[in-house]
Amino acid sequence: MKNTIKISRLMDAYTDDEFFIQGESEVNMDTVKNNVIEKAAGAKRRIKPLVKVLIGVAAAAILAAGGATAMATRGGYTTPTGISMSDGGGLDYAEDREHPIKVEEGNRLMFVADGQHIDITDLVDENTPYIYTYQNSDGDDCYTVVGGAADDYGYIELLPYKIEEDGENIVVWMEMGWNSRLPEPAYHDTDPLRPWFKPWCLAAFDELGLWSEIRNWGENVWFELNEATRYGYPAE
Amino acid sequence: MTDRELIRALNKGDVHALEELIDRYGKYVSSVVSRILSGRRQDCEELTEDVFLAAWENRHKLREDKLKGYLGAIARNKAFNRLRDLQEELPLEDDILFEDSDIPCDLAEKKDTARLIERALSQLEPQQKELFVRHYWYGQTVKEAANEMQVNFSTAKTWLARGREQLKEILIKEGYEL
Repeated sequence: MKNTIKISRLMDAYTDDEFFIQGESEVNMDTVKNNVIEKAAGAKRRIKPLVKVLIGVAAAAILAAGGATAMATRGGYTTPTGISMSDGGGLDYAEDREHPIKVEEGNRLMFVADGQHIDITDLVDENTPYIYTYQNSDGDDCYTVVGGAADDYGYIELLPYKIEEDGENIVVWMEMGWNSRLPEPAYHDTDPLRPWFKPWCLAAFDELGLWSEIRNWGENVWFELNEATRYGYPAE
Repeated sequence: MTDRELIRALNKGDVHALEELIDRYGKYVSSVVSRILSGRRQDCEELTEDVFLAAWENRHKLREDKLKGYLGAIARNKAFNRLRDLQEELPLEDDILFEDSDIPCDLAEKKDTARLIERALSQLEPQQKELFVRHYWYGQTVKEAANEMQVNFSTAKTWLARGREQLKEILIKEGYEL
């Protein structure tokens, strides 16, 4: 079949990185911006800080402190599926999320949740998290937070669960999944009485506005996670 | 905020970063679209929006050293595609390079084509290259481009002819049949 080849069509393959010829525009940029932001934001919304926010930590420390954590294995990694509290209460994780990270050749960290394949190696470090927002079946925002380096990364899933405590309805941000190639992903160490959130994790709490109290179930020790005590040392 | 920081914020899903992207490159993108779809304000606004939404959806592909060029390329190609859908053309100088040839019509989609064009344009003097890009990529008329570059109109046409010859030569050397 014979074709007509046009230069303007061939130039579809070209990118101008040199001249950037700028002319007059007929476009109302305020209208464009509003429409773009509205479409991009979609259902995305920030969780506003609530009256009281607790973070429940599903860690080996809880087992030592008298709680019990049900576990499941997905894709070769162990992930908590719920927490049974020593006071008889408990929470089940309704979400079933696959491990969101693959380390590929060249020690590249790939974010693979929800069918994605994003190289986040240069987007994270010890102090900088990568935060991915998605919605659960109730339409609530949930967060996957990744930090660290390819040979020492960690992640946490932050899921909102509504519980009643002291007659008050509050949202508990349940953290599940801390899998990593090394034993201590999100935590500095496994001492249940010491601060265990790494800087990238705290930076994520900063960005998400999740000022919180961490309760060590069974030990009744309160940790304050705020700007003054960045690493969650026990409140004086 | 540098482009690097901007891209980092975009990758975190920060919509404020998207606003900043629009503030920073909106005029350029909209001017690229407006030149090609002159007189069609609604189309221009719609396509400008599409460019930034495409950037948002592909934000993990953005590179700090190629950001403006990437946005410009999306803008330019969307505008030209819209023009083609409307079965209209810009009055470009001798736009047809080969007629009734065996060269595949999807040549523009091939990865090699960018390299071939770069090679052809690299054979031109810088001003000649600029004129070629202004006319065949940005869609400026020869008169407009010549005026802005302060070049004689006849000289501009000669330079364009030289660019066309270079492109033809490169394609033939690469084995494309006429």
